[in-house]
Amino acid sequence: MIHILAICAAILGFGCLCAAMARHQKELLGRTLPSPVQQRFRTAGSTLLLVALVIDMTGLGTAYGTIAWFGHLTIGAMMTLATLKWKTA
Amino acid sequence: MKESFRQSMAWLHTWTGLMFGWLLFAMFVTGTAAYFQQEISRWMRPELAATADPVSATQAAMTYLRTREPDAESWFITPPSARDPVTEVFWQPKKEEGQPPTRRKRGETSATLDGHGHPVTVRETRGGYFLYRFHFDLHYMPVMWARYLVGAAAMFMLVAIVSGIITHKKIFADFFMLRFGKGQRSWLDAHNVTAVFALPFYLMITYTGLVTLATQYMPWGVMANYASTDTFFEEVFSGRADVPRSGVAAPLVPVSSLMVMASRSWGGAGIGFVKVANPGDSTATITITRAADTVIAARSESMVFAGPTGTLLDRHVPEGGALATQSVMVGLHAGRYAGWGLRWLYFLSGFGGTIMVGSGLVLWTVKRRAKLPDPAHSHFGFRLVERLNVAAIAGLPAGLAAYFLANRLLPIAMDNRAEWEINSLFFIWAGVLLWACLRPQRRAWVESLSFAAALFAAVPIVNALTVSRNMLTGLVTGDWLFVAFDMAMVTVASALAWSAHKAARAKPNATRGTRQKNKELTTA
Repeated sequence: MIHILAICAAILGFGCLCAAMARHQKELLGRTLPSPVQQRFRTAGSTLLLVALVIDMTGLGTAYGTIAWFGHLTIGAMMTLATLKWKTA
Repeated sequence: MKESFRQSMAWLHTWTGLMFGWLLFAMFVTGTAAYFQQEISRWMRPELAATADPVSATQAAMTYLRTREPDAESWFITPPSARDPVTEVFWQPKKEEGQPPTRRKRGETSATLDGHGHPVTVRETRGGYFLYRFHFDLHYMPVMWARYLVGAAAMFMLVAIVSGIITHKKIFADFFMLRFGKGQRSWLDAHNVTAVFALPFYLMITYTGLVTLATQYMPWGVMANYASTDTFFEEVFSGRADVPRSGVAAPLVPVSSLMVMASRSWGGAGIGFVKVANPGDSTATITITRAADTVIAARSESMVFAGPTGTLLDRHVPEGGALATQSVMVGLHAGRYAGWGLRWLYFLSGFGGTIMVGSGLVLWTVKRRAKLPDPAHSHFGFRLVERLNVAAIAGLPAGLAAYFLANRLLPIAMDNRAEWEINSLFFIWAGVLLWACLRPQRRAWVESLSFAAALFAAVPIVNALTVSRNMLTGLVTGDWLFVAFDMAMVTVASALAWSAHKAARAKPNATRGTRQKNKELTTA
């Protein structure tokens, strides 16, 4: 359960970070964003990745949770990239 | 020569990566599979089903050993656990006076027992354990040399990772950059994405891998402080030197109460290992070691009891910062502590590493093929890399499938059966290498990948025809191991078939098309 929660937070986090990148906005959102909104996406993305870490550390223990977090980040980035490729396909 | 720092790092990355690339690919494949070595072993011994209670099984194993090897120097017992249904025992036979220690065959000093202490009748196989050992011991060669080779490969890997990070200047800007259908550019994207997404894992796994064998690679610290490496290991890891037998017979206390006591003092953790030194003698000791699945550190705590009385003699907790650091690093590498969720994350990251190494190897040829004066008559070095790429990327998976098939198809009563399963793996692997050398390289890719896909697809079918447990019966009875294994085989087979399809469809001689064909090959 903790794994799924943390993976969701990681996907959302990387999704926001991806949306904050000018070169991917058109593909992911279908439009470009003004720079203050981009900045907000970037902050939200980083925060969500930290939220994933907090979920992992509280749910799985500090050490174990930190290790799992790296794996969850990998899946989060993978799923975001898959969404991006799916949107453009 | 005037070169920028980044250019020289790119050079270093290219050549360190290529040098041991094929060995690293094999290490990644077998190492990744080894995260499920117990599950693979269970699949390869389909006769075994239920897991017995570890405490009573250990007690029963002691009874078995007392009858079979009462005079042994020591007994070693691995109780059954959730991931391993049987009790594994082995013993160090009594040393003959004045005789050099004779080498015994594996079966003569070990046995596999059920929960009642009876030897189980299972097909002879080394199971997933072989893949785990191949990951660092290789095969058909002395273990020490294999470990130096593997260590050199790991060191090159570490250099390749660090120089790769420097070469890849836009890690964040290109984080999600994956363009299909652009030949060399696509290959580079795929290599970068697989490398960056699990980069912390690769750094961790490579560095900690070197640490696992650090005392072999850098023995000087031990040499300067200890009379021999044996004394070092004794002092650091067991804390007790071997005591000669007194010759006074004394029965052992029941081990079950000691196991319960040890488990309670470790907060209910399981028992990983029981060692009995000088069994049946008044000097006997029973060492109980905590199971590795409860803490990250690989060196578990242990408790030493007097054999005849059951008094607690010693608690051995690995001490000191250096030892704790080493222990955690080895633990992180082997992942024995990982539960199901984390185990799959390890597996996925390892799989990513396999693709990273594979795409790097293919990228080397793709980059150079465009610059060849005459692609039809390339020089020897280029052809060699091409052929070895086919042999490694398609050949090893084919061999792995052959290993599983041999487990089901070789006669149960065959002599050296376990060794022949392993020979089958290398036989097929060598066959693919030979094929890759004889065929035009594009055809070699298509045919080898199709062959590997066919072998993987055959595994569930052959399994269903030869044993009574398979995906369908598993779904009915809740035998999830067999469901998952069959599904994994089908998944790998589909990925290989898709790669073969992609390779076949690519247009020959169109510079972009030729390169593009290989893109998905690395999913193999």
